[in-house]
Amino acid sequence: MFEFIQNLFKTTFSIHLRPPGARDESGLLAACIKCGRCMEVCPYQSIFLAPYSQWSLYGTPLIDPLKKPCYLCMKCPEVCPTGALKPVTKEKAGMGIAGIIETTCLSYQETICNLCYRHCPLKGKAITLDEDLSPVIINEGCVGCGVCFYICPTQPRSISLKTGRK
Amino acid sequence: MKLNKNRHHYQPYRRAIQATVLLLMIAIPFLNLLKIDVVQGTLCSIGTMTINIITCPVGAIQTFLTTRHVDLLLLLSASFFVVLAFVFGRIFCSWICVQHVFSEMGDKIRNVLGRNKGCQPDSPKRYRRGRKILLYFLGGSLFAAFITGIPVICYICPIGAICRLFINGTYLHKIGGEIIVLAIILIAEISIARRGWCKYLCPVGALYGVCSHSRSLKVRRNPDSCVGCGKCVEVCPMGEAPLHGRIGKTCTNCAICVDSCTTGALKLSFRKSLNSDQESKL
Repeated sequence: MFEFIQNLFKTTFSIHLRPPGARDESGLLAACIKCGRCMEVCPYQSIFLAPYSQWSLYGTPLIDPLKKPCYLCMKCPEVCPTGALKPVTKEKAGMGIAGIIETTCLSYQETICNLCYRHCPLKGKAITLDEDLSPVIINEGCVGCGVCFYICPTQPRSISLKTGRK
Repeated sequence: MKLNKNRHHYQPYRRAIQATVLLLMIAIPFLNLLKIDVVQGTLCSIGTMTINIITCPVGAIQTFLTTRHVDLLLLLSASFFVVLAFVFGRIFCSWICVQHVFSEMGDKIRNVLGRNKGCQPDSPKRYRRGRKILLYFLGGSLFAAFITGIPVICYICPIGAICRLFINGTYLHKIGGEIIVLAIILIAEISIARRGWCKYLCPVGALYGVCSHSRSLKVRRNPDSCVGCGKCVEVCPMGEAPLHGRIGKTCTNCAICVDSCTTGALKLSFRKSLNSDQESKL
């Protein structure tokens, strides 16, 4: 019984991103009325609402890039009734920023792997390949959608993901 | 079965609408999951495609207070239920609200347990106190939202909790902590106060109650055909006393009293007939 109650409140996620176009953290907490429209409209089911265990964030939309990253389809900001998510273009989604950990990244270890480059929704703007075919993140272009983090084959991930607006 | 001509039968229609809304709240997440998104949303916010048609007015007011900015589109979509309340009273509560369904279930359980036996209508003093608690709770939580910058009512609102329960169940196959909030409210309504949430605390209902001050659709009593049997007082879950002409702002226009009236003295009507009671001051 006790375990059942614990499980109700337990959700495991490492990093949580906000959906694209979100206001800054306090602005989002102020404007979000926890209606779940963004969750319903998300075609990839990336967005989930924070459970009661995250009581200070309860009901606000989160994305766990370990389970499902954001593919930047930009449907959720359009349906938000209160403007907690603001309609913006992909390039201005501002969810966070990714970085490559070169000590574990396969491409930097004499192996050819460019999964992060191939899956990036902003290919060429957020990630490019240098002359050794190793991925390089462009800080100005990366919006932190978490796709590269999700797809990275190494364990632990060779991508560091920071949340928050730049 | 021969129906009594004098009796009204609103309850089947009300139940049908309640069931439809509840089924919609369960079905919409499923349909959205199957990429049929003509209608989206929960009772907090309903819309098609990218247009918001209805937004919860309490949520909208809180957002105005917390962000210190009034969005006109949001105001427009939030005014739907408010306009409804101005004309039809608190029909959102009794005909649409999903929490109301569960509250009525709690009431049924109370009946089974025999806790509603010999239920007296609230005395005017108690009635006034109940209204005061309701309004102070609405005002207090809106003030708290303004101070803290967080829409606090949404944390505890059971209407949103039920809708989120359905979304989480559909999308994540998981039951969240919302069920604990609902269980607390249900147990409190069964054990402490009859329909306590709707009557004393619900901020959404309180807002519609304020708006329904001069509603046109109202339960009206014709004293000439009333025989004073007191059935309406017995059945009213909100502690109103239609027999004594007290049909105030807590009335949700659920028409249970109208259905219970054997002589047809109570009517749910838009127009004030000549021989109906004086307007209640409460």
